[in-house]
Amino acid sequence: MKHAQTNRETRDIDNTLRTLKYNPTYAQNNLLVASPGGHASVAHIYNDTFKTLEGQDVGIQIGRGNTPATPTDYKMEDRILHGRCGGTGAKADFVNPSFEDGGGSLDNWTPDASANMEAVAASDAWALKVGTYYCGLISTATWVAGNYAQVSQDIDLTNISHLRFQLRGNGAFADYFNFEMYVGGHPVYLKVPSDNTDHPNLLAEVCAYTGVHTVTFKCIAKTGVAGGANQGVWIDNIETVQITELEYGGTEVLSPIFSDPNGEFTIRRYFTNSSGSSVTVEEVGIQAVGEDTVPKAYAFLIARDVVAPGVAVADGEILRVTYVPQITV
Amino acid sequence: MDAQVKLKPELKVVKEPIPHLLVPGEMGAVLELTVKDKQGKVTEHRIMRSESYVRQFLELLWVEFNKVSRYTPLLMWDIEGFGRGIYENDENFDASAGVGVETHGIIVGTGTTAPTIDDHVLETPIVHGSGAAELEYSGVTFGAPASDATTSQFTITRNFSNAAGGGDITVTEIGLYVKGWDGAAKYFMIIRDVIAGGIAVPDGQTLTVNYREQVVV
Repeated sequence: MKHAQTNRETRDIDNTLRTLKYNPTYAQNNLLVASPGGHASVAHIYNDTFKTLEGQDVGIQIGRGNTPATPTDYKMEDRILHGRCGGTGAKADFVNPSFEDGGGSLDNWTPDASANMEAVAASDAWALKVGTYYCGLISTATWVAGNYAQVSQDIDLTNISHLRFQLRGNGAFADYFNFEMYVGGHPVYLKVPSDNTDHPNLLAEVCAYTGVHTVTFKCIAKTGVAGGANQGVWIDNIETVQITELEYGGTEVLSPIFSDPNGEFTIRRYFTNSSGSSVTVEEVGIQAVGEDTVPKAYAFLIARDVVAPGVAVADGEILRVTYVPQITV
Repeated sequence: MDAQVKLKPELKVVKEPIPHLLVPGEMGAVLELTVKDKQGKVTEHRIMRSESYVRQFLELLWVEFNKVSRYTPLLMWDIEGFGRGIYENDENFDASAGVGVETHGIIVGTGTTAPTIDDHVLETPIVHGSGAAELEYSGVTFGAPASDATTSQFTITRNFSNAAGGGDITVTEIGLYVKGWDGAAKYFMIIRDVIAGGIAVPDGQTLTVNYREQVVV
């Protein structure tokens, strides 16, 4: 089954009984639709550190896509994410965002590194890199805890909602490092990179900031190990974007009602616009949980509808979306 | 003269298109009934919409969408007429019955009363066996999911053979029973269809019932 997120990997979904370690109710969470809101963790889900299944990932979904639905749709066309961010108007971009300037360089970035680490423009084979080069924040030799490498650039964050970038945890010991982002001295993003794993289109929220700030991308060792060179992270294509979000409430699955010959129950979700801008919703859908054999939980699209004309949700308004599965004998 | 065994293979590409009987946005089932004689020749074939999902289908779906816990189960009526406190479990919706099993899978009967939303069992189930008024139930098999431009479906199949040695056995109602879990497997009807006029299964012939569960964009 293709799962609903942008990574089109297929998953072996099964229905095997689980042990108490993974799930207090013993069973799989396949078909779970009821969910908490926003960034809250979906209950009883075991995930790796990059693929957190949040409340927003399960239950009713909204988006901006308007391509007609087909039976093989596996994700929302242009999903609206949970949050309070929004941005319109002129915005700044990073200079040398893909590290291509001057035939591959860190020009306009301020690199900094401790012993055993380096920030470098590199050109190894990498499916996510844009152009020839990317930036490696990597080890040069055996490292110890606290060794780091980083690049920074000053940029006006006015009218910018998110920073989007590509990331790879590189090397067999990539998970011995943290990847961190800072705006000034404030952390805005933290991930533990998985070994040799690509992560496209990661987003860091920066809508709380206006004016010029120093944005730093840092790879720092949590523990030392004899891992050698080229362990750490690769980053590339750092973009400033304007993404308008709505705040996802929880998905409610209300009790069934039966009156011969009809039966139904309601699936309902509220979305609050606190972004400062109007948002037009043109597609809705439902995502349900499926668990594979590891076990890891993923979201799968089980319904998708195009809404024509779209529904405009002004700043400060609340959108209610309901799906009502019905049967009639 | 030497004994000879001759075997002539026949290869034929058979394309079975997905039957389109549901409307856009609908999830439902198509019911296909085929009667074959001992030589495999089709003597009767019908395709129709399944008309009647009953309340237990929606209730089990709700249990799974909510992952209802064992501490707050949903009361549902099983095929024996008992109330059961059902909660989420990997056995819910299991229809994979073996040969001769009458508790779940596709079930046939001779009832004729029109379905209601509250039906919890076939009106008059036909018993598995080779005696009078009995049909031999095969194991349930499943066809993998498939899609065309508008429709996705998978198929649930069961064969019912008339080995009673008498006359026709006429099937007038068909249902789908599945498991639900209250700490042990219990059995629930999720579909019940009444076949107007019934479909006759002559002695020595086999009825194949296909429920094709479909969704249409």
